[in-house]
Amino acid sequence: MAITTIETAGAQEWIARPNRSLTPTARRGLIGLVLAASLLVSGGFALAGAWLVLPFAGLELVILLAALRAIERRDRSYESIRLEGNRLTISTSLPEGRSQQSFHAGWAKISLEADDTREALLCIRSHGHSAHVGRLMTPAQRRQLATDLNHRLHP
Amino acid sequence: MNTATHTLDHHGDHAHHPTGILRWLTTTNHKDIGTMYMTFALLMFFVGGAMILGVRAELFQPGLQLMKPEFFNQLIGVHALVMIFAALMPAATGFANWMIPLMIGAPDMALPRLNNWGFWLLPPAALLLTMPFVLALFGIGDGAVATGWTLYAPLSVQGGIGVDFAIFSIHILGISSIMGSINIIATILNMRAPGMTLMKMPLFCWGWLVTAVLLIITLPVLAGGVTMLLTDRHFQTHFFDAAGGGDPILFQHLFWFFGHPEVYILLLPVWGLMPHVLSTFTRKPVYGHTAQVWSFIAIGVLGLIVWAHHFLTAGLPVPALLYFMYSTMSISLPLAVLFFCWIATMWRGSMSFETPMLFALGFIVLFGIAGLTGLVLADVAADAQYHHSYFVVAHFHYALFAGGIMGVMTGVYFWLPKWTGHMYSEKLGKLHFWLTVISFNLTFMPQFFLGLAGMPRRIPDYALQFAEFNAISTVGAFALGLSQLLFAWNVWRCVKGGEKASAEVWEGTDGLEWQLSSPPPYHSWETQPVVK
Repeated sequence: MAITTIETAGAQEWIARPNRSLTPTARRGLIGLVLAASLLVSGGFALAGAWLVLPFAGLELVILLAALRAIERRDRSYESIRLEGNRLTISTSLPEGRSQQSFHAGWAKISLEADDTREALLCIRSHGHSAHVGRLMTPAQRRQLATDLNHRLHP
Repeated sequence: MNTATHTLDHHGDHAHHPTGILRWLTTTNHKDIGTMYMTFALLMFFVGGAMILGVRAELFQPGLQLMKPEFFNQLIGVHALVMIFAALMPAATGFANWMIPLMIGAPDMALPRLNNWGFWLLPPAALLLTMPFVLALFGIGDGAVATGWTLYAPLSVQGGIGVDFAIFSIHILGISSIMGSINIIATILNMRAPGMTLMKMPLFCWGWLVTAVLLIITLPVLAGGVTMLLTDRHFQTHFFDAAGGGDPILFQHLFWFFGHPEVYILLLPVWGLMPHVLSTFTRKPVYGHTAQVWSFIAIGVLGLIVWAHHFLTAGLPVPALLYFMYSTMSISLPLAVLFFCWIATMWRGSMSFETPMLFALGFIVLFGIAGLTGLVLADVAADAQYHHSYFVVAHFHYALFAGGIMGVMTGVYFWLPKWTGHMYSEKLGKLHFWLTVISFNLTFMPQFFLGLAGMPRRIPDYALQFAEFNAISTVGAFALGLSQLLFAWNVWRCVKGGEKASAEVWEGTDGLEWQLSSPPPYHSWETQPVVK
């Protein structure tokens, strides 16, 4: 779980993404390797008369591709907190869906608050609305970010 | 490997998970699933063991004493299938589930739901495999599969319903293994902690990575082969029927293209865990990490191209015989590198002999015998004499019991305190080791001599000249089986309580998994470690 901080003129953004050690290139390489090995083996046996190996090799590749696709979708998850002027914008893209909420920076209250998940998430609350972020952060990262945000919003 | 972690903050709300039976049915937690795999494997180890004790009891004396030859054949076939698919493979998968995420700093497996499905396919598969025994008691069918685990055609084409049950069981076990393999590959490649490059990855994970790739390459071939068998049996195809233009030897190619890599599938995880154990109990770093990684890969690749040495006597053309003989012998080169690295790790180390180390040393010596006798069988001329004899039975039990099961026991004793948070009884562990080693050799060493003297395998009766060695072997087998009850008792005691284990457990440990408490928190590595 990595948090990237981007600072531009008048804006600051914290983006949390899950830690992933497989690059897209390596993922394509893995698929290519398995595809080549599978074709070589099942093709060879099919030529020897055992053509019923082919559908099983195909089925296995479909399962592999579906699994990698699910992982890829999850890898695209992110949680972003953007502070620009007096707007605090929370954007999330998680497996359960996307969302975006904006708050007035001067009124937003930042706290660590337990919801129905097991860990206390970072809660941004203002005018009866609230947003929870931190699913892609470690508890230590959440605590650090809460401190940083409070310092920024209410110096 | 030098590691640095953030403050471990693992004592929060970790108990928020279902309890009771629901926890085990629905769990996606890698530790829970690992525990279920290991428990299932232990149970099936005793089921498969009980079957072969029946066989050994029959072989105690020449003549037929206890059972009909048909039932004898069924016990042999199902014993092998249970031990390979329902005991050894699930035990290794249990290790993978428990240890890979802890070792690479991942919070769980990459695909937790797939992980749950992968496990819950196993019990119905085991039930399918053994159910024909029960059905036969009610007059349905003629018992379980009686062809040996190899299911060779045309015998299997003519067999009873036990063959169909075995085919479906193999399909389900195959799907479970594919799910497990994809999950392990995805976890290892995608979820390593920052800084843990592939070449810094623990050898146990490397062993499993190669294993998973082998499973993915070979399982479709087995699935295709047994499906062709099924269509030959019930849908009038003639894939393996020479009278219909088919070829029974084709089945042997299909089976052993899976079956030989299967040996490495069972052994690579064990070879991967050995360096960790040896390094810990010699208080030295692993010798030749990179060399061992490349040896695993070389064995994996070579393992895919040597399958026909299992049927060198089937009438293969001479060029094929020469190719399979030399390619098989070439596997001894990377294997020798592994042996060298294991010995070099111990060289001038500050060794101590706790139970895991004793099992590791026993593994090295006895598995060495498997390797050397394997070279004999790879030789075409010698194999013409020893093929289908008790020499082969002894050889592969030195490989799969001394190599596989004793390797698994090494891992269990090594990691059990980490899993349970308690130390096992060292006294019972050592007693278990010595009883196992002595009774194992008492069981299988005489079988080498039986094979050299010409006793064929898979026969319920034999000539009088083989009586003494068979009697010794049977006494050894019962001692071996009974001594495993000590293992189960020791594990049970450790699970229930005992002396508290520290996080490091052993002096001289190295790796991320030892930085977590013993037992690790239910949700581990929520704070990502960083490997330097």
